[in-house]
Amino acid sequence: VTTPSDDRLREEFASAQNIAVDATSCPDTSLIWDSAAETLTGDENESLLRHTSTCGACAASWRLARELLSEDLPQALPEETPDTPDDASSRFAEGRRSRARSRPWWLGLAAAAMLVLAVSFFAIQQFETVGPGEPLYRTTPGGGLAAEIDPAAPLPRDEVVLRWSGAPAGTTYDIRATTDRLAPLHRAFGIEQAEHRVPQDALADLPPGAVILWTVTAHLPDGRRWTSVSFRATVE
Amino acid sequence: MAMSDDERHSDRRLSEETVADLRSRLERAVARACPSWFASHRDDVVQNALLKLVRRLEEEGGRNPDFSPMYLLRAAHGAAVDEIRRWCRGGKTTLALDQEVLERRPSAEAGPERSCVSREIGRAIQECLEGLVGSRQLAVTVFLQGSTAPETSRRLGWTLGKTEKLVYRGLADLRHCLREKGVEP
Repeated sequence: VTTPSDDRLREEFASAQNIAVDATSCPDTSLIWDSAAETLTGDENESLLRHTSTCGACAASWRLARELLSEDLPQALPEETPDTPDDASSRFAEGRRSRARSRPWWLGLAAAAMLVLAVSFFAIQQFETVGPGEPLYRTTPGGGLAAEIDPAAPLPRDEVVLRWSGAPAGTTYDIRATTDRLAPLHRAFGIEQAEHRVPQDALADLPPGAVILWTVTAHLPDGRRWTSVSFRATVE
Repeated sequence: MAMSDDERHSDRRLSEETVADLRSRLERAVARACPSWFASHRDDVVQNALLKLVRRLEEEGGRNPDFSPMYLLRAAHGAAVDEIRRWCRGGKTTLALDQEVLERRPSAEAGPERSCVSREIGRAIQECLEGLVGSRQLAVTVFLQGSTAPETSRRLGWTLGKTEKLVYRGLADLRHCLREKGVEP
């Protein structure tokens, strides 16, 4: 038996044209888009990617989103060069090795020194400009959004109130809740408070102790948008 | 491909240039993302997705007349995914396409026999992937979807070293599993 090339594996993987037996378990198309756009993170992203490993339709949908995004987000494109070998695993590693080979040793040292200086300067700036009472909003994906509920404490079904914090006054929110297998449960838009009650009927099919995943998208007054990481909640 | 009545009707809100641009982007993306088994259906998927998209936008137009390019792209993706799923479920699309015509249409890249074998190998790969240890399964899945090492590590939030290790070990497991199944891609 010859070892199949990685390109061949990719090709054959893409040839699976099945769809999950329980089609309702296929994730919402917006989640697939978010995953391909790298705005879906954590458990939600991992669950979705696991789903694509066995669902040909969703795998193709994910690749389609990645392709569509690649024209607008060049960083999402594979780093391929014409001179690299054909085999995909070689290309996979080459992105790392070729850069390492072309880099003089002293450049690394200089970069490290610059990094230390930059971090020190940035830290000093932070201490100087942010007073004790002033909020400091992170610019990482998710901004400062944090869940304000205990993910392990079961919530009564008629009282599943999701709470969060971390965005300035005047922010409006969208919320999306799914099962832990990413089946859509509930969505709401334009919420003005940092909390939202999930309707009881949306939870009707969940077994006792079920975990739900929820994410918040915050629309800040200055036009920015933050999407939280995926939070968890447990239903009684 | 001629523009349908639905598309012409929707031009009240989407310009011809916008529709043409969306069409060409969808065509390119579908051609790259969807494999040989889909070759004979690509045009239909793009056409149906555009039809669906303009209808949807027409409905939403009153509430949100300014569609950003990213919004349009996202909506086009959603419509195309609906078509892919519909096709995978039953080989039918939203338009009442003549199934015989679809079946007679030759595949651009693979004969029917080869397509059938590929599908079986694809399923075998899925089964083997399902049996991989959690993090290896994730790493190999993202790799098989076409990602490079830096992209995979970024997507999964892992270091590059960890990602490379998991991909190589995961691929070794995958090949071992395929060999046990007697499958040679």
